[in-house]
Amino acid sequence: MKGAWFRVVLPPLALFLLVAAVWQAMVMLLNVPPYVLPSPARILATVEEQAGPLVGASLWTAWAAFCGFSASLLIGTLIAFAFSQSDIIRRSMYPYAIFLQTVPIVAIAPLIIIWFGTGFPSIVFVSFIISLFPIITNATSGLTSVDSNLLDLFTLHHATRRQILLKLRLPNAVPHLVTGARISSGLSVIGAIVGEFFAGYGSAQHGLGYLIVLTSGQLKTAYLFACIGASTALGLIIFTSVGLVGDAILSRWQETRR
Amino acid sequence: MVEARDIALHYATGTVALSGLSLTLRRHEFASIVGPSGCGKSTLLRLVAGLLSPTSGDLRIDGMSPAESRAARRDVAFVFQFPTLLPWRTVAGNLQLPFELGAEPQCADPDRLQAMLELVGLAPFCNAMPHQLSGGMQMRASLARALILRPELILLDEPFGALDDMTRQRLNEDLLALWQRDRWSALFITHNVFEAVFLSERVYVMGARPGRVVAEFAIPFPHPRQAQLRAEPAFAELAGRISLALREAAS
Ligand SMILES: Nc1ncnc2c1ncn2[C@@H]1O[C@H](COP(=O)(O)OP(=O)(O)OP(=O)(O)O)[C@@H](O)[C@H]1O
Ligand SMILES: [Mg+2]
Repeated sequence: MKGAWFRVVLPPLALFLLVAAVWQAMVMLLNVPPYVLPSPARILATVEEQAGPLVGASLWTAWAAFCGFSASLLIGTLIAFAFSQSDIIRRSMYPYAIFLQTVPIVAIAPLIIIWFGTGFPSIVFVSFIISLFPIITNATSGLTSVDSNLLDLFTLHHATRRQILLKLRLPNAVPHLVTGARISSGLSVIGAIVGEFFAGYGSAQHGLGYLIVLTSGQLKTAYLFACIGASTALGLIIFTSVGLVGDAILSRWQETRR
Repeated sequence: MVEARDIALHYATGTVALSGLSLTLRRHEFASIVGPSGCGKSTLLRLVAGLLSPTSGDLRIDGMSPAESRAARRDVAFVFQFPTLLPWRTVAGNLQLPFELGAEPQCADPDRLQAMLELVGLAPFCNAMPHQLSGGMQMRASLARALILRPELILLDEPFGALDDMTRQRLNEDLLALWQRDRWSALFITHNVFEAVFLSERVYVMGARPGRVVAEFAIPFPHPRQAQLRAEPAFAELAGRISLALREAAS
């Protein structure tokens, strides 16, 4: 167990340290100006110096991503529910759901700002739009891809529509929904940061996306690197926590596929 | 119990799955149907279950059409080729399912549940999830679920087709013991002639394109039947004759 942990953690960690060392040496030897490429030591110092603002911005972005993710989980499931209950609704609306997947958010961001103004609601909305699609597709397939023999069994026992939904379709959708939520959780962080690019200014609190725009504008490249690191860490934390919750739920649903 | 007279079934795709099929299942009788792949065996069971309606011909269950029989709540039990258990429910939870469905859901009687679990040898596994069971045990759970409402008619569509031979033989013996105890009527589909002979009082051989009954064999061996029956010359002879009829039907 301990050995396996070492095997998993040690190689990437070693590589990371090696790259950092080479990076540090190159920057020092070639005298690269810090606004082009700061040295790892300088980035580390910035992280220490700006720890307060960085953590604050990360929490704010995390909150926005969480709101966007929760909204997409709720609304995506409801939309999938409507799709599963009516063929007409699914057939007529599904092509437009794909629009969510393909629309460049950058192109409609101005529109979102016109509707919601700058600030938190717009950021959450962008995060919501970006993370909605995986929930819709996965939940829909979970609700509709039910073993036909099980459907026959329910029919033979005179199951009502409601019973088929509650005792068959919904439980069947859970693993699919977990998969969708996993993809969606990562996207929601990206959505929140992109949202802050466009709408993150002008309020008392701000998130990582805004900080990225600000630091890059001021050529505070070391600070920018710190923001990128924080964004990555945040995405990883949210993705992993949703994954762990999903695994806990799935352990009940586990099934050896025939 | 089941009386099929000259029934035909055409699927919407144009496939003529059955045509001119006649067969009789007497009350308390165990009858098997063997036939080449794709000859319409599953289709026939779905007709009897009322999941499909015949295109033409007359199909009666106790004098009623399958739809009327269904409306009168004379339930038939269905056992599929795969266990088709709800993977998110325990074995006991799966056995409760039939009670919970329908316009008037009932509470499962715990004694009856326990007795059924013991009958199929799953009592120690009542709280296990399906994926924790072997294929044979999953099939036992599936059988128990079919039997728990005490139906008069049971339809089995290659229930042991996915199991190894040892497990299959053991389940055959257990199924026969259950049948001897309660004497439901059974229509049992299989590709395995030995299984059909061992279990049945009557074996129907179906031919393909279109599906119909081409031969009928009465199986005279008395009950209770023991595993040793499989080694008797009369058993092998009868199985051989049915195999030949099956070969003829397939060609
Ligand atoms: N829902 C359907 N729609 C159209 N054609 C179907 C449908 N179900 C079955 N068929 C066709 O009807 C014929 C009989 O199918 P069926 O499943 O009843 O055969 P079977 O004897 O059970 O086969 P197997 O031994 O492989 O289980 C086949 O040619 C099949 O392709
Ligand atoms: Mg079949």
